[in-house]
Amino acid sequence: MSTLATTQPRFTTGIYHGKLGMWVFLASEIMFFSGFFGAFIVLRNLNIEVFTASAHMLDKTVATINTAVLITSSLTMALAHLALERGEQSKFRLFLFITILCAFGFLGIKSYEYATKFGHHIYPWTNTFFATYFTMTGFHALHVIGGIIPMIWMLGKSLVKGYPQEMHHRVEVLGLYWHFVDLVWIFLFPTLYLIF
Amino acid sequence: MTSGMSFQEIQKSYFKVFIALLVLTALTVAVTTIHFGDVANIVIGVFIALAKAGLVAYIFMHLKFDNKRLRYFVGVPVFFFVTLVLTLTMLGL
Repeated sequence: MSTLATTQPRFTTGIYHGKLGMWVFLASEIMFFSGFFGAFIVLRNLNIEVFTASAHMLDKTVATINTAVLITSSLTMALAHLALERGEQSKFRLFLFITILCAFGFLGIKSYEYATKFGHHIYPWTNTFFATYFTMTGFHALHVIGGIIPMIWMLGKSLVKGYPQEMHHRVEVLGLYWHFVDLVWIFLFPTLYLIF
Repeated sequence: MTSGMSFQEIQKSYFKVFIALLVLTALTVAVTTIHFGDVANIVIGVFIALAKAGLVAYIFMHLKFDNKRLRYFVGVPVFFFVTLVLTLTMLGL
């Protein structure tokens, strides 16, 4: 019965506690990233030539591919939750596995981008554009890692004894976090790569 | 939780959103090759990003299916974010 108490929508909020908790966290995350975007806009307006020249050094093609990879992982995450809600264990495992693969794919492509920049002797301290670029994408990458860890734990658990269908709420809440990570990238991509 | 929609309908909406996100990504990259003017290009980029964000939040993050009160709750930090970005952008124009 303890599971029921936390996974049923509550009268006062209309949603279950776990979901409310995640949304409270995501609300704080929106404000966390707002600070970066605010700083980016102010620094850009003060150093427009530096920002334009530096942004043109970024690889748009690779970033576009990475955007598609992250969007795909969002789809498979949503499908994984849907599968578990219906008790389809093997589909759940498959979709969760693809989500993890895409997440690692994203990090791999991001590492390649970083390595290319370091190869050209471009570092966070090169100029204000790259300082904000590395800070924003770096914190985003940390969020990706933060999503991969519970995903692997869930996949491991489902491989050992099957993930309990009645705990599909946990997957939904992790999905909320994962879609948010996708959302942040949706704003980072045009801001850093496209508007210059 | 999924308010009367069948499994097939929800799955279909996920795939539709996925296709829409890919199309909008291609579009936002494509418009950068055309120069509408510095401000116009930024405005277009921001609006496409907002459309993508709306799709993700509404369908993938279940705001469409959840209790309506949650939307007001989420709206508060989103309002602060949009206000901050708009104010700082306009100050720089």
